[in-house]
Amino acid sequence: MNFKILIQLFIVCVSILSAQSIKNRLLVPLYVYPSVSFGYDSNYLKLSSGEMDNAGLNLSILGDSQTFDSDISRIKMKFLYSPVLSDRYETNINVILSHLIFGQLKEKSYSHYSMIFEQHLGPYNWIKIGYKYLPKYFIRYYGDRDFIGENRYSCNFSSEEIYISYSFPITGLSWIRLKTSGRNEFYNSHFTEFDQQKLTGQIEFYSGFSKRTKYSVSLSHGRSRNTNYNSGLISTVVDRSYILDKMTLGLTHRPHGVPLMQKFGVSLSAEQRLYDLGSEVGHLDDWKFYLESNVSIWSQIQVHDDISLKISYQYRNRDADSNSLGEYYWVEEVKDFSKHVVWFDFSYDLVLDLFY
Amino acid sequence: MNRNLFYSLSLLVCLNGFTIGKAVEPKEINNREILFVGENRQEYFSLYKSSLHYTVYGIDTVNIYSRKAIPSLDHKMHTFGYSLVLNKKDTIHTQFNERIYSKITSAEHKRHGYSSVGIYSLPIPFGKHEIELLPLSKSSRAVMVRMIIHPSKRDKGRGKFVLPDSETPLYYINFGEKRVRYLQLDYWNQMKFSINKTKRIKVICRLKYFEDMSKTQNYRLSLSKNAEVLKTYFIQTELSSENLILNESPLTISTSKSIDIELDPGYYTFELLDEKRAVYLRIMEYEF
Repeated sequence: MNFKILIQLFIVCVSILSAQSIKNRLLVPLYVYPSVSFGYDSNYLKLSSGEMDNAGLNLSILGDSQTFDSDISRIKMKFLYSPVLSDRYETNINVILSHLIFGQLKEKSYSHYSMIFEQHLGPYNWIKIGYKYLPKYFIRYYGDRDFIGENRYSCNFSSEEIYISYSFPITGLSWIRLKTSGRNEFYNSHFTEFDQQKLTGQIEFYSGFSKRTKYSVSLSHGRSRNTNYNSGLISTVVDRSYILDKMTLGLTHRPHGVPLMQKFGVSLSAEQRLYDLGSEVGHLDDWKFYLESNVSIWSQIQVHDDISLKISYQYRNRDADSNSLGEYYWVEEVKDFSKHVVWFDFSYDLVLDLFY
Repeated sequence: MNRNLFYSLSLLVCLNGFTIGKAVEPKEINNREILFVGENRQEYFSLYKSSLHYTVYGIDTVNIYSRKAIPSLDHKMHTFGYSLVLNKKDTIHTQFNERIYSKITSAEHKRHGYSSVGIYSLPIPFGKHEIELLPLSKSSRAVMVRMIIHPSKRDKGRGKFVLPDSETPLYYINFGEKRVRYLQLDYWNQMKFSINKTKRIKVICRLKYFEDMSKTQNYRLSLSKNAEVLKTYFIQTELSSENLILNESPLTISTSKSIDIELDPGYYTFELLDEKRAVYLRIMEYEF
């Protein structure tokens, strides 16, 4: 009986949305936002100061790279397609393709793809579902714990992430977004002991001091499960699962009376990761703790009617800590790093109106 | 009170065009596109990849309103225009720089907006003229065009009432103090008339409303020459709010619709194709 009603409803919907109507709803403009960025990364392999000091004695840590820093460039294409699925509410499909090139080390270059489906439900009210895919991301050269010897191997991983978010208004210009995401990281064959499955929950609060000055506060909590823990290899006897917490503060201002400068902003974030490093064979209480802080300032300038330039500076720092009496006492010296990154991002607004 | 002078003048120009003027259709009627300007529904014709051909009569000043179709998120300044060829001789290139105007939408092209209007006024001398509008180049994007003529002003005092050859009833309808001749057509009463040399005729028609009729109505008039149908006109009309008197009784009729037709010498018949309806008809002839 219910099936019959469903079929009838389907027939009614199809007859309402005639072929012409469906065509008009789907053949809409396609927005393309290409951008080219040039930048500089002062420590693109995230080496600690100790590793930098000893790099002369251990050149394999750098691979083919001559320096710790690198010029970087990025090509990015963003496509926005907004079919009219509802006369009242907007639907967007975003596809983003980007490729990042490190001048010092080809192996470090990577591509990144993402797709986001966005459905508007009312003022400040959206539901978004996204998928991100990173085919190969090189970290650096590490030794393989399953092999004997000092040889270093390329350590890289691929990742995919799926997320869903729901945002809703609270008062005036204020709104909240709730987001949950799941991410898988699969390492290359030498480092499968690091494979992770991460689940994160996030709450973001957006508001403004005025229509020109907006701020946001974001809190995240997540757990990452080391999927290959105790899977047979020597290197898998340690559980590399961790708990993470992150807080981000953002401030954006659109200045009045400055025709070129569209907006500028500052963002601060702090993330902590606690690795339990539990082991069925270990006798000591091993753990390690990362505290990563990030400061970035940026400014967006309208260079031309359809070309904009975003200049950003980022300072990133990680402090690592561990049980000095445990097996991982060396972490503090190896996992600390700090770096400066500068970007000049030129973007162009292009509209492909193919179906008028 | 807060409107600036430019806005007021633009509004005045637009109102002048839309209230006194009349939109004229090109031969390419399939290019029709309805735009919603605020709450108003306006008929435009799409100039895209191929040209539009119009026939107009002077003396008149033809106003051409054009708007570029722009994707709705595009707020850049856009340059657009068209080439206008008058009587296959003189060519004029128009160009406008406008941004998207947020209050215009189209039911047919979703997620599109349309630019603010670019207006070009073309004075045309007495007689019949052919106007061709062409895209500026092969790669030009769609431009919506609305051509406004001013037939009332153009034809005022120049027309001659065409008397029927048939026994079509003649009535005088009182428009205030003015009495105007109309012939009444119904399903059984045709209007026959003759033309002795090539002329332009203007057919002004108004539907008679009966008690049970809704505000918006349609009817069909067919024009035949020597018993061969030349064209059937499908007319959509609305109830007029004018206070009209016929034989000292109030008359409920539709707003006036006029059709310009060029006819060769011959015998013609106008016929109302719908039963249980009556149309008041007035045919004026002009030496172009």
